[in-house]
Amino acid sequence: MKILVVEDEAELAHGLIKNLELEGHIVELCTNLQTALITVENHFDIIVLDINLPDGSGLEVLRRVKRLHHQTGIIIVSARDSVDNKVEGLELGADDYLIKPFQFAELNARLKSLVRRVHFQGSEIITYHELEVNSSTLETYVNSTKVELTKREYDLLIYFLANKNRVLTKAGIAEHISKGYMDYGFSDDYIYTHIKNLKKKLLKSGCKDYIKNVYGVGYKFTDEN
Amino acid sequence: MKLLTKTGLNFISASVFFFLIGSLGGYYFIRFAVNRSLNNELLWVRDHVFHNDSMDINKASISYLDIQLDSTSLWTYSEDYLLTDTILTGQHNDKPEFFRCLKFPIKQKNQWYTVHLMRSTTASDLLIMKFTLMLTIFPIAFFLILYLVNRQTTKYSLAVFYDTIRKLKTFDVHKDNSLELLTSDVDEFEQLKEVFSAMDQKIKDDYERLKQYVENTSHELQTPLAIITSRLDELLQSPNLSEEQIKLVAGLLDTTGRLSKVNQSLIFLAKLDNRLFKEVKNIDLVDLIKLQLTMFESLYEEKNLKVDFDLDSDTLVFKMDASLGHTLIQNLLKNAFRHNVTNGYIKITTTNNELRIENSGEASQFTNDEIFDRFRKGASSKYSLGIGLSIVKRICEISNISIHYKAFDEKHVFTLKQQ
Repeated sequence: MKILVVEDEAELAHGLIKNLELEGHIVELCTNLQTALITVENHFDIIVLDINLPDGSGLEVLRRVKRLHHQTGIIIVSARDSVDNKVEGLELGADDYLIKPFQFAELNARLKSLVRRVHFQGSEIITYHELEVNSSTLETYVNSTKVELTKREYDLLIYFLANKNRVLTKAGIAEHISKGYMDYGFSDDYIYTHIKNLKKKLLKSGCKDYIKNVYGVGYKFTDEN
Repeated sequence: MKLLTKTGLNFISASVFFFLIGSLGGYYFIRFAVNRSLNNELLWVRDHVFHNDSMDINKASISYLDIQLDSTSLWTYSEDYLLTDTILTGQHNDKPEFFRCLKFPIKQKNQWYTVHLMRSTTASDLLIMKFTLMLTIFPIAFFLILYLVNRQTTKYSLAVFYDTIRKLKTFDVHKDNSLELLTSDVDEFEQLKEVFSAMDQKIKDDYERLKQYVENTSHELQTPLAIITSRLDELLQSPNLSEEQIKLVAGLLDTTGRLSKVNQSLIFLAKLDNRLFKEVKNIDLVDLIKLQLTMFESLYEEKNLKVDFDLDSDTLVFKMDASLGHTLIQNLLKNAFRHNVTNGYIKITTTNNELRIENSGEASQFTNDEIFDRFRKGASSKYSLGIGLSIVKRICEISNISIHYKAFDEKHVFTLKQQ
């Protein structure tokens, strides 16, 4: 995927680019509004857009992109946790809205879901060894045998599949599953129960144990040992 | 005690005291003067008797004078005459009557007599009584009128003062309008006004600066927090970390997440204080609650909670900013869920335009509205930031909603009503 990152904070931008490139994307960076407005003349699959830019609002970029390329997916990344901003951004055509600070796994999961929505019209078969997930029918197969997962278990699996080989903290997972309602009182046990059930179901249907516990602080989805 | 009553009471008690002394003095003075004139009159009659040198005392008598001759008693006093008060009965209708009496000896036909010249004091007593009465009633009336007039004028000049107090009572640092005090022709009140106006301005300025400071600081903190999160995340992914290192980094990541949540709440509070939410619309709270409840399914699952509705109508409309309504309900529900117990319940009731959110939970340390104070939280709430309910409180203040909290052992109730 060709991704444009519009972010004025160099430290954040570099971490982001490094991670995105590791995921196999081609990444370009703009650090202010003016260059971003010029750069978006070219086509990008995804734009990761910061709203607070030193020379103006990132919403300008959003408006221009929506005029030029309908196919481009846009994720707004902002330090401003305001419902108004969020609503305005989404009304202007942004596909997702992420509040800083965030862990890369969260952005990555949303990015992949966005890619599926924009470029595969929501349907994509995600495969990982014997595991197969159909994102349009929300069905999961192990060695072509269907596994019945709950919605939450499915969400967890998709999240793990989007972030293979990354250490995912329990808080990060809970935040993703609760869609930002983490501070509503989710406990670690809650996450633990769901992951335990998911693991059990996958193992039972003959899938290898890819979900590894990382010293009690989180999980890692990997085929390494 | 009001100033007016206090000064009035002082005035009255002082004047009553002095006036009593004055009346008493007046009474004795009149008594003295009347007695003196009676004495003179009696002495004049005596002189007349001596000059005429006749026994025809009756001739010399004046009608209101009584004369008695007493030949039995001897004059044993050293003085020439004696003046006394005496009471005689039987003169008129057997009623005792007061007399001024002059006794003196007289020699006639080689016989000594004691003459009793008696003058009735009934008429003068009546006069003294009337006079005393006048001395009492007139000043009382006079003081009463004086007091009432004084009270009215003082009340009038104190009106400015009471107005100032009333305005100071309703003084709210959040409100934009400045303290507009009445002008007065009383110097003291004018000074008071100047002091308060200056104070008002100073408080508002300081408060404004403080708000700006909080908001700026919070905003500035958000970017470094984002960088720290991103860097820690990166560090966590690096290979060959020891168990200890991974635990350390993951812990830091969690803490940073919490820090940034507190910070976001502070930014939101600062925004509330800056009144950036002014688009008032009709918001249906029942609708909002139902919508938000669907987002918390996962929480019902975890704690196996039961949510009950008891609505007297399908809608409960408050006039408020839409996004504030959203946050208000979100925070209230968040609170009801977070502090609930396993297999507990949440009950949402609407009656007479009042919203009631009741939930089971552990016994609270807070029994009343102090729960809304910023950074108050129970000991066991790991996920609580202690700021959600103070946001609720501020939203209610901004939107003219009264909110109250009551705890009954393990039952917690919030009631909201728009004024």
